[in-house]
Amino acid sequence: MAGRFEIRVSGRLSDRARAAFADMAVVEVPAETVLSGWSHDADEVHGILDRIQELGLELVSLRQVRESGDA
Amino acid sequence: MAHVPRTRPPQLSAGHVRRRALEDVLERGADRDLTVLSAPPGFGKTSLLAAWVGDDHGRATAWVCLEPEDRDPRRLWSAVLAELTALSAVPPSSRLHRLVVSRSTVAPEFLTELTAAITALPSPVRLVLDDVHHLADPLSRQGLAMLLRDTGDRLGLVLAGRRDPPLPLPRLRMDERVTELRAEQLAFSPAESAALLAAWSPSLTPAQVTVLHERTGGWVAGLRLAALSLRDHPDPDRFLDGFSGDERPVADYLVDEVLAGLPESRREVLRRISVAPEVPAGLAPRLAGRDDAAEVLDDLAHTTGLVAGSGARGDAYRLPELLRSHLVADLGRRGPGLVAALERTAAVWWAAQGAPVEALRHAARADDPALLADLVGRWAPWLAGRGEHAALAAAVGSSEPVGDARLATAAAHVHLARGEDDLARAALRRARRDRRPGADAAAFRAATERVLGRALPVADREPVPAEPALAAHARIGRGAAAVRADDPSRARTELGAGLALAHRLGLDGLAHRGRCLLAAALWIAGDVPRAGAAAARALAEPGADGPGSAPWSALARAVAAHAALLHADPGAARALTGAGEEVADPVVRFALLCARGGAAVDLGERTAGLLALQAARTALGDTVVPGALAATAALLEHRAAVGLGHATAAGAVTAWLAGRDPASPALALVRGWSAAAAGELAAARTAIAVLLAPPARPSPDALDVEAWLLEARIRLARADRPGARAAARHAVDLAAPRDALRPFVHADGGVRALLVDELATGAARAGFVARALAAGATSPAGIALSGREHDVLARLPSLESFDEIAGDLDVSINTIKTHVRALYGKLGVTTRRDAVLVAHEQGLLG
Repeated sequence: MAGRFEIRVSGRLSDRARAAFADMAVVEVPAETVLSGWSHDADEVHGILDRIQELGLELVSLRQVRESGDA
Repeated sequence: MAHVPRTRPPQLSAGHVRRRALEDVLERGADRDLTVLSAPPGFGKTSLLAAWVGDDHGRATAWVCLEPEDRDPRRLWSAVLAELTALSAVPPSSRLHRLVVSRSTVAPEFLTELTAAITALPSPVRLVLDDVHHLADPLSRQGLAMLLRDTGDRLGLVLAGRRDPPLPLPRLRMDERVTELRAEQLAFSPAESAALLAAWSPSLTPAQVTVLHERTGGWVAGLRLAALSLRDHPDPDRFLDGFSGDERPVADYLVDEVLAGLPESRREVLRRISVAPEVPAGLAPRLAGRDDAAEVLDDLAHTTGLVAGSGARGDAYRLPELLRSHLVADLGRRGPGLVAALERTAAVWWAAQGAPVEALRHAARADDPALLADLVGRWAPWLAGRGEHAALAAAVGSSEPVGDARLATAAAHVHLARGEDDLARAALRRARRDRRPGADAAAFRAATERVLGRALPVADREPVPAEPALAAHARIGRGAAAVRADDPSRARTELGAGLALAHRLGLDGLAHRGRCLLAAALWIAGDVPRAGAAAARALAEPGADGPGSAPWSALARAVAAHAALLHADPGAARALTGAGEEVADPVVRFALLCARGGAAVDLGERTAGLLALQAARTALGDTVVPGALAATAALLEHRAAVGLGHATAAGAVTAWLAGRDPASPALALVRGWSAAAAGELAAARTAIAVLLAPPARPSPDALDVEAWLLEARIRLARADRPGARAAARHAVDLAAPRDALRPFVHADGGVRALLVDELATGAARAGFVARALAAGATSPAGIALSGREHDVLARLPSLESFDEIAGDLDVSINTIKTHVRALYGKLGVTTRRDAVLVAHEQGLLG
């Protein structure tokens, strides 16, 4: 899956945990944190999901975002 | 979690909680084909399996923990095979002991053989693959599916990982062939949480234990961190208050608490070693930047249990994965260059230990192109020669294609190993653009270009590099260039030296290429028997069919096919050539297509064979080929044309050879053949005179043998029977050491009849003549002889009279004459000589 994607994890991340996603946009919404970024292939997304697991974060959702022209 | 060594369950920690209920679930499912443990890190998958397997490891349970490099199927299946053969439940007679994983590639056939060998075991075994999410390549997935499908009750497969394994789980569930444990089952029960916390923090009250269990949801990694930070916590209730009600993720909070309980100096040590999952005692001070790092880690291990391992060989320091991931993130926050600098330190340290795989793993993340290029430059010849391309691919794949000759040449080898020749050539073009490569980088690039077929001339003073693995590449590269340049003697010297080095260093992938090239050099030099043997040996090597070996194996097949043709075995030649068209190298493709056409002619498909030979020549265009190959091709085609009475076609190929190589000695022979076919025997004789004068240079087409057979035919036509006999004998004597039978298959009938007389002479020559006459035998069927007739026939080639034969067989002369008349009738002949000739040609003798 290439393109823009959005991952939600539960809870608000510490600055330390946010630093693990330096190449992604991190936004807090109530009780969740939204990570969004670009990927070239499925391997890259798997890598990010692995990192989330390794940090012990709880994955809420993963979705691909339709292109809106704001590359 | 990663463990060292990886083929052994980890030691269980002191505070380990035995989970009998889950072990019972596993035990009840032990007779199912598959057990799957699928959950995020820190759910205790590995510990549960280790406790369940216990002492059975090494008896009937094999254990392999996968690592990222197991993306390379060779690495994975080598470890699996080594573990299986070490089991005491596997008897020495098992076929598993005879299996070998090729160093260059894993073929599907290997997986089939592995499956068959397991199926044949006298008692069932179990194979645990931990961290199976690292299994990524299609071939290994296929292997897993094959093991599951075809081993019956001989193999229980146990797979643990962060994601579901790539197997059809729904169907297996329906067939009740799988036992599954997931996060919800693996989570600790309240009682288990209490037991774990009691072992680590005995002072907690039941109410505090309940809060911890609920907040962590029985997640073992979280419980463990909580227990560690509560151990000496001044105020557990405050800890628990902060823990509940917060919106922060549990892990985040726990890591904060653990780190808050340590002095900053120790936090710093942990942060700095976190870049490496495994930290040997020697690496710790380098990463931590303080000499007493190992003592600090030992102390943390004893007082907090945060650190596992002793730092000793095979027992490196390790941090809980959860903590380590947070520490790495923390490092990244403190400065973008910090992680890279520590990765660099680790890479340099591992390189100094002579560990290229670990060194490159760290260097790929060190953001230091100079260091990466340096390490790749140093290790690529060794890794590529051994076929360890995964480590190399990870290193060169981590950087954008840059103009550094070392990285670009390593990338070329990664592409070669995958059979991507075009990409390999593109990488070499990038390498060529590096205007200031070091001496070793230039030598490696040149060696790779030459092995790929680029005709880079070898300067007289071109030095051989000192580093042995690089020297092996350089020698074999020069050998390849010499083969192209039609200099077989130099090729043999270079290839011999290169092969000796490659064998000593275990560079099997490189040695395969070298041996295929050596076969070609021997063939061009005219030593067909040794060329055929070298080609056969190369083709029998494990991995000869792999994508990284295919171009060189095709060369060996061409050599073996031409050797088979010369030995009058066209069936084998045809089998070796395959379709031929799929080979990329135009010279090798031409050689294969010629052998295929020649085989068709020899198998009786003469018109199709001639057309195939003509087509191969047309397809070749202006491509330069070694002189011996052009001559061999021309002789095959010319003979086919003359055999069909097609003088124009014969003239065309003669002109082709003359245009390519006006000095080719084969021209004399084709002109002689054409003249003889036109009945101009004097002209034929003049044409081949040059070939009869010693010393004849050996050639793979047995030109000298052919010339003497034509001479025999000419003399026979001039009624010079003794001269013809002498010429035929000479042809036999030249052909016998090389086992060159094909010229005799195509020889003139009169000359073949002459050879019958040789059967009765000296045994050495007679043996070859018998095979020469039998070669090309049409069919052994069709003529049925009685046992007695056969006895008589067997004595006809001797010089014995019928009287003597009668005495031998203890029958009367009239009985013998009766048998002989019957024999002649069946063979359709009227003389004893013709009877022997026909008997040989029909495969009834010899």
